[in-house]
Amino acid sequence: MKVLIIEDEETLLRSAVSYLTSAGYICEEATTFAEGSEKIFLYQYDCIIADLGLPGGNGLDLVHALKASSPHAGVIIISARNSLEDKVQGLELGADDYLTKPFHLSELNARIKSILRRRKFGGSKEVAFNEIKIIPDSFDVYVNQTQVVLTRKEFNLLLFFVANRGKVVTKESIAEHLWGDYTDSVNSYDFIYNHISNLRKKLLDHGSRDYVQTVYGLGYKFGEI
Amino acid sequence: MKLLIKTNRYFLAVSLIVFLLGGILFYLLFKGIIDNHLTYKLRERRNYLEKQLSRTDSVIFYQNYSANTLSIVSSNSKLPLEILSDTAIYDSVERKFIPFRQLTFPVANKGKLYKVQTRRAIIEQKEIVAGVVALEVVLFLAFVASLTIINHRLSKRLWRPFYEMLDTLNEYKLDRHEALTLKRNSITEFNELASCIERMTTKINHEFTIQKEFIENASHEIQTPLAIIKTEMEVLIQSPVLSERQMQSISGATAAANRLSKLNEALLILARIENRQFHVVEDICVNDLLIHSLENFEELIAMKSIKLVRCLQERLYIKMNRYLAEILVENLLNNAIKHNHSPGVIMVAVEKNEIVISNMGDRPRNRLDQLFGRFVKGNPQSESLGLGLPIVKAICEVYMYTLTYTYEDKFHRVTIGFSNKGAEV
Repeated sequence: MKVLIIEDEETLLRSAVSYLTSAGYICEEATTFAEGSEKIFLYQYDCIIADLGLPGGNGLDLVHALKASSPHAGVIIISARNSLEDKVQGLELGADDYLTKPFHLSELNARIKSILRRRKFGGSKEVAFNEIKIIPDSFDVYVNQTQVVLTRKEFNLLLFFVANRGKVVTKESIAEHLWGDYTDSVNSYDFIYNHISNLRKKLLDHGSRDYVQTVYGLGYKFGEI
Repeated sequence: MKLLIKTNRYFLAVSLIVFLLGGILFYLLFKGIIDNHLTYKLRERRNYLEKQLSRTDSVIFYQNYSANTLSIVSSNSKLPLEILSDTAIYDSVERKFIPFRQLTFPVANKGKLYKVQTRRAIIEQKEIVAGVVALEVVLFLAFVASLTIINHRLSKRLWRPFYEMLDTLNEYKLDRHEALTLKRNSITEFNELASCIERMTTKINHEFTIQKEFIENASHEIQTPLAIIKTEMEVLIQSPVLSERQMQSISGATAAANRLSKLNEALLILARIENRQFHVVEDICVNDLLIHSLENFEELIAMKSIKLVRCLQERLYIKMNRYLAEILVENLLNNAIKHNHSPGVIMVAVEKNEIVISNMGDRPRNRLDQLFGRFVKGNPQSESLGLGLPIVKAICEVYMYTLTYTYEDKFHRVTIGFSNKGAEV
């Protein structure tokens, strides 16, 4: 999976590249509008992550150019502006998603995964992790071919975990992923605990191995122990 | 004290003094005129008497003429030509002394010298005083009455532009971002005042906008470093070699960064609401909005064992920005859950043109008027930002919705009235 990240803030770019590389993507970087459009013109990418405020031009124009040259690539816009107009305009131009800064890298990763899954034509749209099989379109989950009935929140949580397998995901990022921006994070942490223990119990009951690890004070890690 | 009453008081005080002095002058004047007249009359009478006495033989006849007004006695000694004097004569009818002025003069008749005294009653002093006082009182009353009427008229007519200006100013709200225009009229002073106020508000408006924009820009600028901190932390925690102590530090820093980012987000929303940046308005069904939001809070409500009572029969549609409508409802519900008992009750009701969200809870610790202030928290130790209700308030102010809060019988009750539908954002 080839991903191009166009972001002028180098520190942010570096950490995103580092996170996504370790999540298994091949990452390319660009820090200016010119560099970004050149790379889009020269190479093929599966997904492009573009900042809106770039030196030398607006990221929206980049999205426009990109959609013309490689229509199959997924596009995620990131912006410091949480403006509905930008969001609507970006999505109308063909962007698949819009993330407002500051965001969690785990969230970015989950969004990329989701876009790639949706854009995968013909192929399997399942997500598999060892004995666990997730079918996002129908919200079905199987452990060793037996179906596990999960609530919507548990399902989303599992998908988020699997997308960020092997990574430490913070409580905050889980809360935001499940409840969106406006939910009081203070209230949400108790639920996360509830949801995770329910999910874990259901998976274990159906014969899955235990993949959920608590990372002291920070959050959780889903993966082979 | 009203300006009119104040000026009236001064007028009255001054006019009292004037009237008092006027009274004294009146008195002296009257007295002078009467005195002069009296003397003149006495002299006239003397002329007449002298003529009469020179012609007649019988002085005796005159001697008995009238005891009170005329006395003629023979005199041996030489008399001065004229003596004017005041005297009092007992009046047996009125049974009191009556003041008289008498003119004493000598008359020669047939070689004999007589002392003639002619008198006229003097108008008593207290009678003059009474007259003057009566006159003064009538004048004074007339004066006060006309003053009142004139002032009333003046205040109605002359001061009307001033009161109109006051009304305009009272209704003027700085945060509505409208230019202030005051009516001009024919009075120079008021026009000067109007221009002065207009200039001032324009300047204040300008400063106000700059301030607001500064807050918004500052919040934006803070987003990027915050994003960096958060992502760097996220990369850092992936490291497999962290000790528990290190993770503790990272956890603390992450939590603080998250809090800062939430705070910043809330401030940014607040600034943008106040800067009227949510222009897109659509028809929103309040009922659907509430139902949708309540779904989000389902788990929270269940976890706190809160009983939810919904009265959503009345359909209510409002014209509003969807994002703001969502924030409004979410903040209210979030608050109703946060400050609830466990187990507790939440009642959500849609009524004609208003929604009422009430919840069980402890008596608020803050004063009612502070409840919607920024960074006011029910519990100072809580991690809540203290910006939920201020955002609700700001949204209500933008749309001119009425926002009322009451606490009664262990129930907090927030009512939002949507009657002002013609809101401009």
